[in-house]
Amino acid sequence: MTLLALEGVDVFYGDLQATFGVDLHVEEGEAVALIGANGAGKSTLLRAMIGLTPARRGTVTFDGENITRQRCDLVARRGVAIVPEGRRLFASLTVEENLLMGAARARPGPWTLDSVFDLFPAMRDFRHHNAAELSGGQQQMVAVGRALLTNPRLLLCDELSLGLAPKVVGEIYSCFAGIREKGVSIILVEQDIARARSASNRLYCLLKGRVTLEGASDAVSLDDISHAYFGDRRQ
Amino acid sequence: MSTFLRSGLALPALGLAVVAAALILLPIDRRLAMEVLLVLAMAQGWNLLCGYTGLLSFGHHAFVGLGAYVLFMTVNTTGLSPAWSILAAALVALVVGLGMWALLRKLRGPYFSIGIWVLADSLRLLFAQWEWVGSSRGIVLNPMSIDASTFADTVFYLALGLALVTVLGVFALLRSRTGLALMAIRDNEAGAASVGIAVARNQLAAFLISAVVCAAAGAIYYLSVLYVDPSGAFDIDWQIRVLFIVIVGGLGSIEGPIIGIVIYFGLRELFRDAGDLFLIFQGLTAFLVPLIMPGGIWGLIQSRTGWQLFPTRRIAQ
Amino acid sequence: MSYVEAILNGLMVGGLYGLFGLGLALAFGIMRIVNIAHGEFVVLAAYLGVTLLAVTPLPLPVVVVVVAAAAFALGWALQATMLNRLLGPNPVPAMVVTMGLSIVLRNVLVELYGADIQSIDIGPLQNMGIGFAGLSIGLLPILIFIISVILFIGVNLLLTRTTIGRAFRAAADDHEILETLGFNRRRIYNAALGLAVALSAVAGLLLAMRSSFTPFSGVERLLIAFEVVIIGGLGSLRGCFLGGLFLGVVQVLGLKLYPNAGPLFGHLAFFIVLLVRQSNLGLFLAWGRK
Repeated sequence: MTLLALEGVDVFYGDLQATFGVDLHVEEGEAVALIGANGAGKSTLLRAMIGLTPARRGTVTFDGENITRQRCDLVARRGVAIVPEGRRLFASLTVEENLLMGAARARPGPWTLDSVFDLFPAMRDFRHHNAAELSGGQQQMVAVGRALLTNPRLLLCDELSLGLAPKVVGEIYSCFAGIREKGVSIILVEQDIARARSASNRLYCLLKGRVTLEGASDAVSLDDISHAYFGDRRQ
Repeated sequence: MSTFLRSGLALPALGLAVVAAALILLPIDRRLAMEVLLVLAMAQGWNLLCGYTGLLSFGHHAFVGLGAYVLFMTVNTTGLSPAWSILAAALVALVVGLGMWALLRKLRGPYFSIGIWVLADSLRLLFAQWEWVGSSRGIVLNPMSIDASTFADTVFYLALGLALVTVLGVFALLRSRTGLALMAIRDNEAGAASVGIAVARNQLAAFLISAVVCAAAGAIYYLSVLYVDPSGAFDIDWQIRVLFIVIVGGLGSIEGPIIGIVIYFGLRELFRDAGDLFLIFQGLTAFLVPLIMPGGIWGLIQSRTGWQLFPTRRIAQ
Repeated sequence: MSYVEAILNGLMVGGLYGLFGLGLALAFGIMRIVNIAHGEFVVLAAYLGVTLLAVTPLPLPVVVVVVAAAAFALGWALQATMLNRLLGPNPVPAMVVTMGLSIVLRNVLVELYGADIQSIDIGPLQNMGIGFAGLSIGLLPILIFIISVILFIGVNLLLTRTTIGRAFRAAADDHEILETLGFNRRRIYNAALGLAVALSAVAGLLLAMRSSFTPFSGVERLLIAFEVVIIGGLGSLRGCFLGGLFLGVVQVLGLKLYPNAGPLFGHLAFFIVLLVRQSNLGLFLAWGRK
């Protein structure tokens, strides 16, 4: 069953058009990767999905309901959560308080403080630290945990690996299996193509705001991706 | 001549000349005209600072009072003529303005707005305590310093001169390189800084100009009254009046304050007998305009018609 | 009145100044809005208190609660109907709107109550005092100080122990992310301005019990609140409280030296703090960013 569908989505920042007629869908339980160069419109699409920058044209449908112009907090309560680029933890709150903010308006579901701590056991040790004192990897764990605590049906992950050491990135991605096990669908935006392919069922490649490639992650060739990524072949 | 016509300066110059001639020749109430002209000058000065550099000041009544006191003290202690003493008022405002800037230079946004308000309130309290300037009783201008037969005309022409110099000066400034920088700061402060505009220096320039203009206007106004006291000269009402005029007329344009002036004085004459009702109405308008008409009246006219009476916008040829 | 008594009195009134500052700081920290009508709300609360005491048989503590509730509703309504429409990077429109509101409130109060000096008569408590070690301190100032300390503790608990309080702090950090967690930002803002106005209203009512006021007292109250925030440093409850105490002591001592100087000494202390901060640039920048 289709959980999320974008049809002909155009997103603008002021007068500047960032995406052009994007069609995209995510099935229940699926993990979908969005890849593309900087400025391709990946983060913009995530913002349109959760209502932070609503699409000007086209429709966004979640679980059969049109949510194109719905307020962000209402979309969130329907079961969309985001791990934003750059983590964006609440800097003056402690780790535990950050997590509690995720839980405060949560839908019913499997995720609790304890199950998040089970997912990232290291977090128990710094739960009372201020969010601003953490390393990048620790912050990323908190950001993922905070989003999970809303008990989302769809988790949007924006550049989880940005600025993190490869080892730390590996640790974070290794938790994906545990997240998907609980029935959460995932859209991940990623610069690291190998990582994106291995962590997803399907992928979309964006170039200058348009989808240039769509396919099963293990079926598309690196060559196709490279062409879709840089646009050096007629698409 | 044809360059002059095409430069877009002809219309505003002609317009100002006609208005000035009308004010001089027609049998109008010169007292009221003087006040209108002085408040217009203040509004143009304040608008240069707030409309163009984004520094919203709630404390420009400091300069009104300061200018008035400097004029009175200069005339009474040195015997200098009132007209020349206006220059002294302007000069002191310049120096005090620099000092204030040193204190406020790191404050931005609301901090600046209220910081300068505290300064204005401090001056009021200081002058009310200061025996040399008459403390809270205020001071009277030495009657020997004026010629009663020409006095009314003198203050009127001083006010007219100040208003013309201010409007034309602001206009010329906005058409200069500095003006371009000011408008860039108005539209996007961070962006302006990133292309190498010295934001702080331009803000300081606008601040000092607005200070000098308000001080000169305050000096002329209280000269016409012959008496000054701290609670009147440092009254926040001066600031509220200017705020009302600029916000209603339209922030960040020369035309805005002119429209605002007409509306302000028109309403004030209408409400002449209503007392506090006018103040309530004034507040209500300042309260509503940003909500329903963010650009003021001139902003609305401009967005509908694209008119420019004082062409400060430049379009690449 | 000895200097020691003056300092003690300054501390007592300083607790209220801290509350004034706290109201302003909450609104600015959370919404980035400076409420210029803050002082007028403080004065409005005092007039409401006077009126309720005069025309209803309600006892004083109930009046305080009623005024606080009315102030909360007023703050909520102002944010919901007006200020939420002016959110954004430019602080000027919200300042102009609240400036306009302050003018309206001030002059409506003049119309309704006249410009005469008013005070709240609370009966025999006014003159009761306690003496120790040769000093005498009024019972009322002590009570008022205790109430302000309790309110500070209460706000601290609210901000750290409750969801709405944590949401206030989170909104100050990053309101977009707060929305992605299912919070309605506007509701949070409404509650924040409600709380800010309610705190200031209670402080204004308490201040009216120990000193007089007119419709024009609002400006002075606003400037006090502003000075407290700058002196104490924005974004810290303790800063507000200590800033208030400092300003209270400076003012009471100043008035002891020059009875007619009004809030001049508070202003001077504010400028001195500003200058000191500027001389230490690094520290100043860290403070300014908060």
